[in-house]
Amino acid sequence: MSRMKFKALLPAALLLVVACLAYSDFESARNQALPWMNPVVLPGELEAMAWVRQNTAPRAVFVNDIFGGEFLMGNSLRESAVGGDWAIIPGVVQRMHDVQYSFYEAETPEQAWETAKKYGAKFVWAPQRQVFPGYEWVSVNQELFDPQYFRLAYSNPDVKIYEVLE
Amino acid sequence: MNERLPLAFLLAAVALSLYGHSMVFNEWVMPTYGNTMIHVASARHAIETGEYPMWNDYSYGGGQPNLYVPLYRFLYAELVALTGLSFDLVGRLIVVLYALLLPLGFYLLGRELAGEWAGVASAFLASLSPELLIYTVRPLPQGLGLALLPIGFYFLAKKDLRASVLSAFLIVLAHQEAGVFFVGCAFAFGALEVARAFLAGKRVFAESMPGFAAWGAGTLTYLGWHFFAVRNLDLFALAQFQHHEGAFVSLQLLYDKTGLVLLALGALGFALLAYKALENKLKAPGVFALSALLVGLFCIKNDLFGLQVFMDRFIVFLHVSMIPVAALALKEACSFSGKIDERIRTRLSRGG
Repeated sequence: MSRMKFKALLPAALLLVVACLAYSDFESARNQALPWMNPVVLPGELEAMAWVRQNTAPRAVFVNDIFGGEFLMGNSLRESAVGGDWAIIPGVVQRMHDVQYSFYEAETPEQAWETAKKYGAKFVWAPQRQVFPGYEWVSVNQELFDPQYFRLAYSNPDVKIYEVLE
Repeated sequence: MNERLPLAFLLAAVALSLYGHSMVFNEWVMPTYGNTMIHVASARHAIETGEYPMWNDYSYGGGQPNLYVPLYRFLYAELVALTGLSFDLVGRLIVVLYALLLPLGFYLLGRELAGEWAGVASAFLASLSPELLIYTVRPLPQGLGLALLPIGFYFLAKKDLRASVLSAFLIVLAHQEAGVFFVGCAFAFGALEVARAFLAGKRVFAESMPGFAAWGAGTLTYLGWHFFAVRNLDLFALAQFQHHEGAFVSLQLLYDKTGLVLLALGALGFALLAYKALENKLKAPGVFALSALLVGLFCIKNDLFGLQVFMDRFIVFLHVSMIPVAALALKEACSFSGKIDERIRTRLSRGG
């Protein structure tokens, strides 16, 4: 065996072992990253943006969850009671708590309506998926939208938009 | 050896990075996890109204100043304006840009630390970190900060004063945590260079200047931005500090988020650097690498120092420090195994 070939044997074996382990790590990295690609929001929520643009005022406030709220602001330049950068928002924890437990998990339509009014919301985003207002994932309780407090303004199979009545 | 071989391997590392990041095209819409869309809102507002929403952010019902550093949002808006492409597609293409920049930046940094092949190894190792992929596979300012960090570190390790200061300015305005990490590493580098210059009888001021200048430039840039946005310098009033956002980092968590190869080689590289430092044999790039590792470790365990903020979020920044050091360790391990080969060959030839 030539000197060069023999000299490279151990380093080559070492690199081979590292490469095998690295392949496993690379696959693991991809598997860990894949769930972060889940968009959470539904295609119908994007479809609803055209209606939002045409029928609501710029920067109108919606009650929405964090994912839906950020999707709304990025696509339509409207605002959400929760979602965004929380660094300097006064009472931000109370706000998330209220939207979670006093709106999406409200005990009565009236409690949900009062919470929407408290945060200046003109509309409500009610998607056909679980929502995350800051504390936990919950399904939207459609029974909250009593016509005495909320009016159905827009609907597609993925999302309903309610107007908060005065 | 063929001089083009390292280049060929570097291109392979770039291809691997692009493949790793290609999942950004998997879904019908760009990733939404991690507040990606709040940056789209500011960029879209700038394009549709011609003004940046500096004094009325969209977050949490609006009405507050836009404290988030703006470089990524400006870049996003410029790219949409220049190309005419949709925000969604531009967001995904920004991820492709990160996928290209990462291996190239780590190549430069690894090469500065331990030569050409360490640079190539560094470019490959950059694709192994789950955290680095998770933060750069989404259109986020974190991704921009992480893509710029290895390049900024390269200039620091080279002691290129102007480029280091410019890097500090850009990284701080790209992403707050990346900026904190960069200025922390720059300061630690300056401090360790003071010690090294003193022990070696060199000029302390000249040796430590690039680190301290980058630290000063980055710190002043952020403080200036913060004061401009909110008219105070009370950094600890931010919700992230007030509510201690972030999780504690255990060894198991560190392993899960780092992977076997990077963790093992990073630990070996750290030991090698520490040994050389104790022997007073480290040159400036080695001192920088050691500084960045120490700052990374400090950041992931900042709860031990009373801060308790973003500990787990800093794991990815520790990885930026670890990757070139792991490449150094791999190069040294190959060199060492080559020497063992040589000894075996010598003994066999004597015996034969």
